Amino acid sequence: MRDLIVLGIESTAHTFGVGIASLRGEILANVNKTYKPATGGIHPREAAEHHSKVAASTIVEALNTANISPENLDGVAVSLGPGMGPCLRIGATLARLLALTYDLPLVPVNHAVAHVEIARLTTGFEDPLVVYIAGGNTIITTYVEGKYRVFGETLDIPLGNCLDTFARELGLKLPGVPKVEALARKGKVYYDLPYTVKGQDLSFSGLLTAALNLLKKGVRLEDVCYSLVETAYSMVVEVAERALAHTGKTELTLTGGVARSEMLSEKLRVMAEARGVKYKPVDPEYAGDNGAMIAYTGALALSSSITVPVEKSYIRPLWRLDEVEVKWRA
Amino acid sequence: MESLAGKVINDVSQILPSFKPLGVLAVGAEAALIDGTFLGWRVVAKYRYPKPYRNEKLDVRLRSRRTAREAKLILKALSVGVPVPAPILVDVQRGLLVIEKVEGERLKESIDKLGGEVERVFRTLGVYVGRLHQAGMIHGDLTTSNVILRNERITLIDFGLGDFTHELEAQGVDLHLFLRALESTHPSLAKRLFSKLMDGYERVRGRDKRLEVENKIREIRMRGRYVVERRRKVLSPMGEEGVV
Repeated sequence: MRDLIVLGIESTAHTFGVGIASLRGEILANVNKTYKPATGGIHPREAAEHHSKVAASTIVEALNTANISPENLDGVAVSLGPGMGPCLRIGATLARLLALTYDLPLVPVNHAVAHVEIARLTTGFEDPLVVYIAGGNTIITTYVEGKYRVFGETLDIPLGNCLDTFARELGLKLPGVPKVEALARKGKVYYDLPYTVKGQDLSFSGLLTAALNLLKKGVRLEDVCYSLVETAYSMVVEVAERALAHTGKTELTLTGGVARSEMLSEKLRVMAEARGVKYKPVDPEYAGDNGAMIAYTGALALSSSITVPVEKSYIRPLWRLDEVEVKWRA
Repeated sequence: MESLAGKVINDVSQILPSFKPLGVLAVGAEAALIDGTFLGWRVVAKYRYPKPYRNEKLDVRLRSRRTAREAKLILKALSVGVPVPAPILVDVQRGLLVIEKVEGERLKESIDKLGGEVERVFRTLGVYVGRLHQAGMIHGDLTTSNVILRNERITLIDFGLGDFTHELEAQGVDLHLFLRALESTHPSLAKRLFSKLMDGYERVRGRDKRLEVENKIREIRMRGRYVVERRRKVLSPMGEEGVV
């Protein structure tokens, strides 16, 4: 098959990213601009304003980096969801504009599927069980009969959100996970916290509340961080292990923003080794939201003729991972 | 995996020297099942082996809590007339539960060979589930793999995901999962057999309770956190395509 070169736009949450990638898996450009709130969490409207301001220069920078002109692209991919409506609209609008201006096919990409595909690309794993953990998502998934099936997910808040919110309560700025982890490393004593695994699903909201209560009771900060992180990560590893036992998959990867977490990665590695399963996390450069993963997944989708007419390219804020037909793996 | 199987046999032999292992039946994510003999009985040792990836205190807490709960569940199930493998020994602290070995065939494999008997089996199963629910227990993993048949005897196994609760919600989920399991493994039989099961359930819990639980099951199915029909109705009244 002829190689395809696709430009991909990411704008589901705090990051506006433009990547250019080929079907063979070369990343020609990966330019990302992240909105950083002065206080608190992500305000969707403010994030969207940020994206609209940086959009044009980000696209130009990506094209320059890849040294390619838009006429030579084979398609424009855009992450249509899941994500925050106002943010998604910026990326979608730009992608439609590029597709119409340069007469390129528009390729719809599911953000979660893109995290999975970039993990497969950078680990070289053919058919891994994927632990996808980020500020907005906590999903354990793997490919079964045409789709990425969900073998466990959060019932309330995502893991990244749990740790970010905890950090915010401490007065720390986003991203909170590395800061909480740094404190956790200095923790020594494990305090009991709610460990909530319901079948294959997870819940983190009670854990967050209980950890904050420990702090109020005057327990040493480092110990609370350690207990929080230890509990939350152990829950994820347990569900991942069950999914491995159930599906019999022999490769395991970690993707999403929290994939840069060494503590979670280490736990997964220990579990995988005990089960005789290969473990490798996504390349840290592509762990957080980025344009390259949208571009690469767009190239995969385009190779299976997955495109969407501009007039039907609605954003899909609640688009689930397991709704996508993964034709390129069929 | 080889080494893990060896390790669990080693551990169990140390915890219980008079247990003679005959072979590892399965190393699941949570526990290993080891076939063996203990004081002359044929037994199965269910060992929740330590997880090296988590804090030791947390590890011991989880393993012992789950082992204790499972042992209590099977004891109570026996006491209310639900045939389950008899517990023989439990070491809560070290996560070891030794139970009677139940000979027979899993319902999953024998379902197609039962002929007319199959309805009786499901009705009896319904009686057992009814007794569990009536006594404030849920099984948590009702599937045709967890029912063992031998001649007339029907035994429920694996209470590892069970719990003590009187909540209608939990009872609904318990049965909903069974229905879902039936639909995926025996699609053509599911509806008829589930209704036989509910007949047996009604014998224990009465007509009103049956209807209440059935309504709950319907609700749970519709609720299905991400069911497409529900999303259209509740989250996005204009339909997804209304979102530009």
